[in-house]
Amino acid sequence: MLILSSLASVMMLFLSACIPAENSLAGSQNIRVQIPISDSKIVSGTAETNYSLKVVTLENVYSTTELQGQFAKFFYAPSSAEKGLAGLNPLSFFLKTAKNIYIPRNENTAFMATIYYHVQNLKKMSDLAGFVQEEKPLSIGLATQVVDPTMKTNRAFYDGNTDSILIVPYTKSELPIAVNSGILAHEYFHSLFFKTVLQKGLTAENKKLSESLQLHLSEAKNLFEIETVEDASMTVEQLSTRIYLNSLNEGLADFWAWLYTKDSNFLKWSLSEFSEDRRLNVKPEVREYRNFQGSIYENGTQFARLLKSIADGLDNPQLMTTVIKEFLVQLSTDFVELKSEETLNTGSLYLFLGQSDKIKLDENNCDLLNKSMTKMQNEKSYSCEKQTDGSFKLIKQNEK
Amino acid sequence: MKNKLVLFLLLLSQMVSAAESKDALAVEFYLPGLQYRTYQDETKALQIRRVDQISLQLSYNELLLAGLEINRYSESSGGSSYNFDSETTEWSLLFGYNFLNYKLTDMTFNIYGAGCFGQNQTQIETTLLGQSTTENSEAQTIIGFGIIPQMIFHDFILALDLRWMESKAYSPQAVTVVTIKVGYSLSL
Repeated sequence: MLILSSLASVMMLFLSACIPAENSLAGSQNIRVQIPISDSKIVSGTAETNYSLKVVTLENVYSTTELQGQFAKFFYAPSSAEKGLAGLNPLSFFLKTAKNIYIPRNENTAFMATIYYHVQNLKKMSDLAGFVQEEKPLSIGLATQVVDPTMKTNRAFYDGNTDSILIVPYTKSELPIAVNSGILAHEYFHSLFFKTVLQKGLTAENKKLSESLQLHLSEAKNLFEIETVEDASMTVEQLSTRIYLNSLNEGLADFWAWLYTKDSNFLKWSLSEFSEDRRLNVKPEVREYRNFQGSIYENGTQFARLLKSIADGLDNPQLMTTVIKEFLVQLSTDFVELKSEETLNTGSLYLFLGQSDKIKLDENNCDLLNKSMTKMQNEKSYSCEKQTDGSFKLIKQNEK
Repeated sequence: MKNKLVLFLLLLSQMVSAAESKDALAVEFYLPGLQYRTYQDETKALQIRRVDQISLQLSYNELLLAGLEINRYSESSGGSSYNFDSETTEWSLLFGYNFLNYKLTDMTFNIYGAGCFGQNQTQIETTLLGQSTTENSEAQTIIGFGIIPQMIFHDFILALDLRWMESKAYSPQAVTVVTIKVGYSLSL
């Protein structure tokens, strides 16, 4: 009996000693995961996009139990704290196959893995374009609770104060926003716009204006208690600047999403009600720039379609990432130097594109830029001139 | 204090078992049991899941216990366009040592200290926009220990299996397992 009891004790000790350690990775590692990825192909001259499950690599992952790594960290139903998001880091659940591929076991884990992958790629894309960013993981809020009933579901936001992308619950039967690569790229661009333009223009004089430029949050009135600025407290010039910057922010974000995905109708997968108005596979036309708050998406889509038309004419459309970066730097300078009685030149994007040395414009696109500027400024002061390499540039008429 | 208590129970069991030893082997058949496991969801909230279990056990002198268990549970997550259906199948071997045996006329009360080990494997079907793929996990080791209070009345058994288990299949985390077992003990 004593032998038996000793054996039992030893067995218990053995069992306790053999309990596997938690699945935290030693240092940071690359792991292969299966997630939904969009793939765009040219079929009969038009780009077609489809989503399918693919195995991709998440780089520099610290832990697979609370998925986080070099590029992103996650918060569940977060709140805003002084130095960023606050709240619990959600658990992630994977199964690992014999080929060392991690398969998400539930929706939330799939969201985290997919967002991590896109943030990792978007960070590299923006680095290549020349954007200078702090080397820290981007905070991502999942299941973010929003007070405004019109914004509490089926939306994603970028919040400059906490430097985070916030995703609210998705209730539609389409592809969840958290795995829509176009929408994630769109939101990621807002972070670039905020850090390059809005944050730098955050002077005492235009603080209110800058805060109000965090478009999505000012719409959302969410738990983050971002101060929403009433139009009445702003001058006509400030309002005009706000509308122009918001229009650019939205339009360039849509274009950035196209550059990343090559999906010219990325909204249709998750927010199909907006896709017809915002799709980029439409020939741009000269349209009136509308100077009121409700028109920022309309203006933005016009910018995005024009940019796509220019990119379509380039051998390397990715060159446009550098062009956008250079434009934002110029815009930032203009914004910082803006006096309170002044407004930003709403033709600055057209002018920048028309005069950029990086872009080889064809006659149609140059003409479109010229006409758009003329319509906006009500005076014809530029013309398209053919260059020695056969491309066209916008030249000020009295400089000819 | 805890060590003294364990020592006391072990000594008590030696005395009782020695007194009651009758050199008998019995096979215990159990109805497919009701097993419940606690686990943490993604928000770290404690949840309970029901697991289907079948088990067969052998007992020797009501002192030693050996058993085979087969468990299965399924999970679903996601919306209509992107969803996850997984099924985990698990086998484990159970070993127990009776450290408390008390007989009262027709009734016997046993408390076994138990340890288990085995493996589980999960199959997951992921559906994205109507297209499905199925993957199998590599087999994962499970290991655990706990106590099994058991009441035997005219060869009918009512047992409560309380176990703490660590399984990598449901992420790497510990689960508390409670199984209610109703069975019949057939002496060989």
